Amino acid sequence: MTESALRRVLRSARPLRRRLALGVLLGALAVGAGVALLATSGYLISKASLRPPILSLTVAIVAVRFFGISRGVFRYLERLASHDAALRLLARLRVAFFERLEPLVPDGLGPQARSGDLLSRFVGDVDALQHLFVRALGPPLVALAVGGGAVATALVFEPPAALVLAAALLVAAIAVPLASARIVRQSGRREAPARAALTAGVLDLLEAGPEAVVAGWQEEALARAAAADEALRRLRRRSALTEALGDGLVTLVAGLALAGVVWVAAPAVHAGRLDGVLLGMLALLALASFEAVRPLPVAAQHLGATAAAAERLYEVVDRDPVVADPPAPAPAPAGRELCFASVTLRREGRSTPVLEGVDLVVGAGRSVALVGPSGAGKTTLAHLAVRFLDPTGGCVLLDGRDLRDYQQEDVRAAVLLSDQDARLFATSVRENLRIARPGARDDELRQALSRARALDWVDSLPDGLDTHVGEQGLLVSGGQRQRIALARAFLSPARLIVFDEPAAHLDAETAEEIVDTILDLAADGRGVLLISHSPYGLDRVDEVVRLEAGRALRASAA
Amino acid sequence: MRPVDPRLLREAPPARRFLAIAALLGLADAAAAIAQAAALGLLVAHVLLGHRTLRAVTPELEVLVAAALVRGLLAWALEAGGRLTALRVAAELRRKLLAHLLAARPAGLHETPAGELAAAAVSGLDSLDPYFARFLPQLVLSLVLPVSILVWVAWHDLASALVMALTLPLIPIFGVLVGKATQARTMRRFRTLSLLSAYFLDVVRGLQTLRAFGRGRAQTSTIAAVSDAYRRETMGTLRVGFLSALVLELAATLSTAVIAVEIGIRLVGGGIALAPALAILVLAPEYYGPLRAAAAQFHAAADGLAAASRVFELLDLPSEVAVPATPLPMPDLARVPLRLDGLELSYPGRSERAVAGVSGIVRPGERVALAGASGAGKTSLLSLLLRLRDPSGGRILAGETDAASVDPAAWRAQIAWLPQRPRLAAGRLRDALDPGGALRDEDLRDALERAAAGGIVTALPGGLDAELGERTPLSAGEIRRLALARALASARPLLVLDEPTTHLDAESAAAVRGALSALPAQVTVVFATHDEQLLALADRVIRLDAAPVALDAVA
Repeated sequence: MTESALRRVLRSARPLRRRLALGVLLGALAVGAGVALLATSGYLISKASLRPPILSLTVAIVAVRFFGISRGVFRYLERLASHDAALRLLARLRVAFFERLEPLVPDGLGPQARSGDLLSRFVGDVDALQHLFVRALGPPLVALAVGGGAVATALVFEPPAALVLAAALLVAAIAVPLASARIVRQSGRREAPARAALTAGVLDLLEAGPEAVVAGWQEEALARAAAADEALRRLRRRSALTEALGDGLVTLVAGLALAGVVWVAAPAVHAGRLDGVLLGMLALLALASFEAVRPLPVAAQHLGATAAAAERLYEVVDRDPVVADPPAPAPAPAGRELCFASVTLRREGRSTPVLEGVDLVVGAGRSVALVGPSGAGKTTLAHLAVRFLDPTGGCVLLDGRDLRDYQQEDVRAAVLLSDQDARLFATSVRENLRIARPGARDDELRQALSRARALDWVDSLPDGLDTHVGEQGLLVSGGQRQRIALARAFLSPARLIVFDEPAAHLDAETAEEIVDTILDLAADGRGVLLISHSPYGLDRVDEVVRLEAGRALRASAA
Repeated sequence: MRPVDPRLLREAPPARRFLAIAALLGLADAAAAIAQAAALGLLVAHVLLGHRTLRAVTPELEVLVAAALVRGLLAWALEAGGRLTALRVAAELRRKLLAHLLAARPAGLHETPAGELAAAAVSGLDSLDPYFARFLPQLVLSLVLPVSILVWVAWHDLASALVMALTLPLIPIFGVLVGKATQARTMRRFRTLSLLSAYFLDVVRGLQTLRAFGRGRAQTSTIAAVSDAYRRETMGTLRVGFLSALVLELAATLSTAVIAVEIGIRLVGGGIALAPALAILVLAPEYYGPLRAAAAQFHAAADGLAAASRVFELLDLPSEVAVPATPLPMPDLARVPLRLDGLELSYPGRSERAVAGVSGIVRPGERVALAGASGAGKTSLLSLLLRLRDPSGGRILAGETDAASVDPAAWRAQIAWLPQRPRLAAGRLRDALDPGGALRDEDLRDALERAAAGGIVTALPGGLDAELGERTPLSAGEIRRLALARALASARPLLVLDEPTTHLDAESAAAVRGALSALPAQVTVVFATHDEQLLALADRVIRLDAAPVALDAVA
C-alpha cells in the first residue's frame, strides 16, 4: 500500500524528471566537491611534505581551489533547481488531486467530511508531497552518487581500503536510517495516546478553568494536567535516548572507517604496493565521504511522512463519485419546476432512512418553506435538489424529467443551492460575485447588490467592489456574507433557488431582513425553497412543509 | 529572532543546566576531535616519511578508534540530553502558563479560543524538541569547538590560526549583512506569497459553493496558473534568500582551501612538519562545521523559539484580578448584603463599555434577576461579581468591605456558580461533582435530588461511579442539572446562575426552574436570564440596558 501510493505520486512526477534529476546532480556535485576538496588537500599536503619542486604541485593546488569555490556555488544552484522542481511538482499535484476531489464534494467524501478537517488535511497532505524529492528521495540518491564515487576512487588506488569504506558507508547509509526511522515510528505510536490525553487534559483545564477557580479546585485541576504531562514524560524519556542514536552512530562509524582505511592502507604503503602520498588522501576521502550519508536518517523520516500523506490522499480521491453524468444527457432544462416524488434516502450502515417518501414541488414564482428540527434531513434534501446526491428510492424531477437524465452542470445552472456558510473566497468582492455569473459587468453586480440590500455596505468599503474579503482580507460579518450570497443568487441564471438555513448563525433582526430579501426573489419570478428553523416569514410563503424524522408533513398551503 | 532567548533560560532552569552540560560535552568533543586529527597526522607522517610498519603506529590507531567511540558517544549524549531537556522545559513552561492563566485571567479564558491556547501550550511547545536536540547543541559546539581548535592550531602553526581566526567571524557578519539587504525585498513579496499560497486551501474549502455555481471544474486552470505564479514569486525570493547560505558555504570551503594551499607551500619550504599540517587540515572542516550545521537547523529551531515566545506573551498578560497585599477578612454573605456601586467594565480595544454604571443591592436570602438583551453585559457583570476580573470603575461591597480589599479566593469561596456552559470533567461522575472528595454520599444524593438530577444518575450505569466521557453522552440539559447539583452541594451562601434555562428543552427548563423555586430561603440567588418564567421567581430585577442604569438605588 505504502509503496503503491508513493509510486503513483512518482508517476505523476514523470514529466519533471529532468528538473528533478538536475537537482540531484547538482546536489551530488556540491557534496562531491566537499569530499574532493579534502581528498585533494590531503594529497597536496602529503606530496608537499616530500618537498618536490613547487611547479609539480600546481595541478593539486588548482584542484583544491576549484573544489573550494565550486562546493558553495553548486550548493546554491542545487537549492534553486530543487526548489523550482518541487514547486513545479506541487503545481501538478494540486491540479491532479483537485481534479479527482472535485466530483466528490460534498457528498462523496464519506461521513467524516462534514467537519472541514478533511479538506484542510487534504491541502496539507498535497503540500507535504512537494518535499518528496528534495527531502526524502534526493538525499539517498546524492549519497549513492557521492558514496559510490568515493568508493570507486579508493578502489582505483587500494581495493581493500575501498571495501572497508564501502562496508562502513553501507552501515551508515542503510542500517542506521532504517533503524532510526523505525524507532521514531514506534515511539510515535506508543506516545500517541499519552499526547492525546495531555491535549485533552489541557483543553479540559482551560475550558473548565473559571468554574474550577470559583469552586476552589484549581490546584486539583492543575495537578490533573501535570499528571498527564508526567505520564507523557515517562514514556518520552526512554524514546529520547533511542531516538538520539542516529547521529552518534554515524559519527562512530565514520571514525571507525577512518581508522579501518588507515589500518588497511598503511601496510600497503610499507610493502610498496601503495604510493605513500595517497595514504593521507584516502584517509581524508573516507572521513569526508560520510558527509553524504548524514542527512539520511532525517530523509527516512520524511519518506515515512510523505508516504503516509500520499496514502491518505489516495484514500480520499479513490472513492467513486456518488453521482455521474448519463451517457446521453437530455437537453438543458429551463428550471420551471422541481418535484420530489416519494423520495427516500437511506445511508449505508443506518437502519432508519434519512428521508422517507418525501413529496414536494417548487415551481418558478412560488415559495416553499421547509422547516423542522436539526437532524431531520433538511440539508440532505437540499443536496438532492441540486444532485449532489441521488435518492435511493423515488425520484427528483426537473421540468418533468429525472435529474439523472441531465448533465450535472445543467441541473446546477437551473437549480442553485445557497448553503448556510455563504462562503467568501479570499479575493475581491467583485470576483466573489462573479462566481454566480462569470464576466458580469459592474452595473449588473451593483444592481444585484442593491436588490440584496448590500449596495450601501459595499459602497462604504475602502475599495468598493475591489475590496479584498475572506481570509486575510477584510473581516465580513455573517449577515454581510449572507447578503453577498443573496446577491449571487440574484446574479445567477438559475430559476430555482434552494436556501439552506441562510439565517442559522445570525441575530434575529438580521435574520429577518435576510428572509425578507429571499422572499423578494420569489416575487421576482424565481422559485424559492427556503430551509429554515425559525418561524419568521412563514406566513408569507406559498407553502410550509414540515420535515420530521425524514418524513414530510404539510403544515399549510396557500 | 535571537538564537538563544534569555527569557527561556530564566524561566526554565533545565535549559540553563543543559547549556552548561552541553558546553562541557562540547569541550570533550573538541579534545577528541583534536586527538583524532593529531593521531591521523602523526600516523600518516610516520608511515610516509618514517617508513614505519603497522605495528609501529598501533598507538595512533588506538587513539583513532578511541576518538571515534568518544565522539559517537558525545554526539548521542548531546542529542539525547537535548531531547530530555526539551521535555522538561515544555512541561515547566506548560505548568507556569496554565497556573498563570487560571490565577490571573480566569475570566479571559473564555475569550481566547481554548483550542488556540491548548495548541500554544501543547503542540507549540513540542517544537522545542528540534531546538534543544539539534540546534542548541550545534550552537554550543560552534562556540566551543572553534575556540579549542584555534588554540591548538595557534600552538602549532600561527599562520593557519590567523586564517581561521579571520574567516570565522566573516560567516555570521556576511550572513547578517546579506540577510539585512534581502529582508526588505523578502518582506515586500511576503503578502503576495501568502495570498498565493492560501489560494488552494481557499478553493478546496469552498468547493461545495463553487460546485453549486457550476464553477468547480473551471478552477483547475486557475489553480495551475496561481501555483505557477506562486512558484515564480517564490523563486524570485529564494534566489536572493539563498545568497546568505552561499556566503556561509563559500567562506567555510574557501578558507579550508586557502589553508591547504598555504600549508602545502610552506611544507615545500620546510616551514611546517607534515603531522601538524595534516592535523590542521582535518580540523578545518570541524572548525566551520558546527556553525554551518546550526545555521541549517535554524529554521526548525525557530519554530520552537516562536512557540516559547508565544507562551511568554501569554505569561506577560497582566493579571485581571488584583490580590491585595494585606487582605481584609471576608464578611459572611449569609449575613451582610452585597452592593454594586456604579460598576463599569470596558474591554481593552473596544470603545463601548460591557458594563456601564450598574448599581444595585442583593440582601441575604433574596432572589435577584439580571435581565437584558443578549450582549447587554449580564455575563460580564457576573464575572465581576465572581471576582474573575476587576471592574474598570465602581466597586462591589460586602457589607462595608470593599471586594478589592479581600483576597479573591476568599471572596469566591462563598459563591457557588452555574455558568452558561458548565463542564463536568471526564472520569467518575462522583469526582466530577466533588473534585475535593469532601462530601458524603447522602449530601451528594440530596443535592442531586434538589437539582432534579437524581433520575439522571440512577439511569447511568454505575450511578455515582459511572465513568463520564464519550461513551456516556449527556445532553446539555442533563449536564446543566448535574452542575446545578454540584453548585448546591457546595452549600455556599450565594448562588450565581448564568442563563440557567436557555438552550434547554421544555422539560429540562421546567426541572431547573422547579429546583430554583424549591431552594431553601436562606440561600441568596443571583441569576441572569431572559426567560420570562424564571424572571417571575425573582424578588427583584436589575435591568441592564444600553443606557447606564441605577435601578434600586443603594439603600
